[in-house]
Amino acid sequence: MKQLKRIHILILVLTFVMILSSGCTNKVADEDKNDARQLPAGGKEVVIGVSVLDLANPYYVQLLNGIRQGAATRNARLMIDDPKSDVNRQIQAVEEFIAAGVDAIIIAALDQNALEDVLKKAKDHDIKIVAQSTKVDNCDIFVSFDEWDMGYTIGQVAGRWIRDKLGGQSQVAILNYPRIAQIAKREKGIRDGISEYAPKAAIAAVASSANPEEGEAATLQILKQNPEIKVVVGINDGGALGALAAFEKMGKTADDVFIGGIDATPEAISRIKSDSLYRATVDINPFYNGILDVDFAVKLIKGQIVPDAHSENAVLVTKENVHMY
Amino acid sequence: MRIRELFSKYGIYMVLLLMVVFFSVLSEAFLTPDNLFNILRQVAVVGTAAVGMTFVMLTGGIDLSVGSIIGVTGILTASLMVMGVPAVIAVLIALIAGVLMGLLNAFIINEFNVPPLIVTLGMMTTLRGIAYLVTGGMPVFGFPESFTILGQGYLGIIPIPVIIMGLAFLAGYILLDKFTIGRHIYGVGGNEEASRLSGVNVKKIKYFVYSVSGLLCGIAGVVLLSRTNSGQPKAGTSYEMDIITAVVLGGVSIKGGEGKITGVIAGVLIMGILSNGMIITNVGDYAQRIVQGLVLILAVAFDCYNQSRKASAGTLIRENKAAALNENS
Repeated sequence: MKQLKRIHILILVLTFVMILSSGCTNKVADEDKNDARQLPAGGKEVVIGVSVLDLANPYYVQLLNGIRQGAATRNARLMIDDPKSDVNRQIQAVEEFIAAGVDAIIIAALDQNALEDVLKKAKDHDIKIVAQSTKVDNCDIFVSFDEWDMGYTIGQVAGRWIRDKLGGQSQVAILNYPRIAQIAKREKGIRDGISEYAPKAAIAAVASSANPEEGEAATLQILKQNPEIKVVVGINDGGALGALAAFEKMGKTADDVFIGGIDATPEAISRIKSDSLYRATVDINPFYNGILDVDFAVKLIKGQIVPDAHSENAVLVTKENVHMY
Repeated sequence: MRIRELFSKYGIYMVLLLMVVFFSVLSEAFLTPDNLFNILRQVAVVGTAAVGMTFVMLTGGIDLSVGSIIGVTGILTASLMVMGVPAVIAVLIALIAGVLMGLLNAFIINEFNVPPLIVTLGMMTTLRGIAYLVTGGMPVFGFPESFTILGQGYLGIIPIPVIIMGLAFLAGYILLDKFTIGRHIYGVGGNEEASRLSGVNVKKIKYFVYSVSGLLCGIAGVVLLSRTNSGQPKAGTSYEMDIITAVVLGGVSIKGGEGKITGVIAGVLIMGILSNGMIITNVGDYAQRIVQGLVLILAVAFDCYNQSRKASAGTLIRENKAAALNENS
């Protein structure tokens, strides 16, 4: 009896894996076969490999949703890999895309140096490359919101706030995220924006946080050490919303407090609408960017001429225009 | 009966074969030379480190710090090269550092009697912190061109990382199967107390296995660095999950004492094929995570079930013997 069971377990392990992956892939498999017939004949459907930074990050989930939407309307099939912020995994993904014979790759590179060689290889295979958010060598087009510009947009508002409501002088806290190199440019933009309008404002505290939990913990700590802080600017809404929670917890709800971030997440929008201390965010519309990416990729595959770079302007969202959201 | 034996002995290879067939049917892009070499190159880092993990797990231990050692040795090599140290020396220093980190793990396990799970868990976080601290969270880059050969070069048509992994497996096989220390490693995992009583220096064996793990993580770290050509403080994050899954899948018992390194090769390949195949057939990422997690649980469940079956079979034999003795008397 027991030996019989042992075999059952083995078969279970075996079939479980099979069923799981086949359950997920059946549909794609069918598309695959169609695809194999169409492509050599120069058919209409194109295949695009997609690798963004990290699908645990809502920004990239939205970008991907846009890419999906764009692909659906342009008869493109997607091959998606989430590198989970791991550069090596992203390199692997590009290798897999090359082996699978995709027509184009949309990539938000984690590290431009690390991706250089493998993207060159992709280019040698005549694969079109759309670089999203991070500029890479060998790309056919670089689609982005400039990181510095994003930071500068929110920094300017904070600077004007300090000039107009705080007499030009205030202690400022910045919530940054040094683990991702390109976000450093965003932080620089924030600093430049603030100092342009409020040169006397002092950056009194800098802490790393990218989500509400980290943002709240960091801000509570900062406020304990430095109760004078009236302005907090985050490199994203996640961290800055945590700062808002911290201010509310400590009962610091004075009219002259400014908290702002970047991304225009639904929660940030609703906080701006509800007259909280959350004054502004920056809309970088990743969904629209995703549609743009596919659009450019398809144009490139068809041999149409596209610019080397396409930059969308970041849109500031404040009390004045928040009703549009 | 024969079929059963075949299953238990070669089950893992059958799973491997089935997966190859399965993905070949699903996608034409799977069974191409290009893609097969991709898979081999992609598993090289995890595979190399898995050899060290096999040593550790055979003694009944575990090393959760592998991913962080890979990260730290990579950053160390990168920083040294950027400072102008010749690549060969930078690599050697990193390998020594890997061994030292392994020895430190073993030191705490041996001398303070802390469970390996806790020691290496703490080390995992500590070392990752060091990698971030040293680099300030930024990638380190700008190495000599020749350095990329380790991770991106070929010998003939075989990628060099694959050759390095092959050599690691070969060395592991020889050490475990042909040398006394191999028997002792199995012995410590099978029954630590019995090994001690029969004169095996258990502490020494543990120092050995953790330093082997550290060394191989060092090698893996250098290969990974060369592949990405840029020192990432995040490099190797959560690799412990892949490495442990591969080793367990390969049939190494989590309780120690049992398992073959040849099985681990199959385990590593299964993990690689699973990940590659799921990307090529476009299984969503979230589903991929679920599959990988379940594979680990199922592999361990299979192992634990086998263990308990053997244990109960053992009691049965003992009871039978006792009964026989009673009858005789």
